[in-house]
Amino acid sequence: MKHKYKQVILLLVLSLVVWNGCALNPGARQLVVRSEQAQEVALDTFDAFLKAERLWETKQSDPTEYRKSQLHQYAETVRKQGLSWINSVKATTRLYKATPTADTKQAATEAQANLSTQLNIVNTTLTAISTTGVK
Amino acid sequence: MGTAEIISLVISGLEEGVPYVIKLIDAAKQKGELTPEQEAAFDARIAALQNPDTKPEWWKTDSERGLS
Repeated sequence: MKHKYKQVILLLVLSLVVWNGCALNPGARQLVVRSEQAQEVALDTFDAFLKAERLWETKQSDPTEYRKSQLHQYAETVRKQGLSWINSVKATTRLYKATPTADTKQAATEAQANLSTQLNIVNTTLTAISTTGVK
Repeated sequence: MGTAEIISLVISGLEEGVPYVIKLIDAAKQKGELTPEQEAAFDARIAALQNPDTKPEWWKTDSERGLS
């Protein structure tokens, strides 16, 4: 299993390299394309994380106690707010596509940054599990 | 349960971690802005997750499961 974990991390790094190295089609705005990619990746990441967390819950001998854990509480936050984070990026990106101004660009950039922060928290949560266990 | 077991479970919960990463690579292949049809397809995906009748069990909160 440790090998599989390393394999996933390696492929994740590779995917990010591929992602950053992709040239865009002529006329495509980088902010828009990267933002749309971020939405899709976020949705897939949240879905995978929540599915894994729910599976973990089913393995607990005391689910009621487990639901007090930081891991579960964060998963609940993602369940409640994850789609709002994505929808915020979606709305600001589409506004920028329709009306490309400095203000709409800034709004789209800020929403994308917030979504990236949440994606980092998902990764940090998984890292925390590996170093400290579930609290 | 030890840390290694937790990690194993989380990773196995991703089920075939490699296909999951392939999804990320697929996203990276996007080189143009989404068309209106592609935007609509993404909207439909989001809408399905917001609808209590269609959202997967793992997207339901404790409250929606009647646990709190």
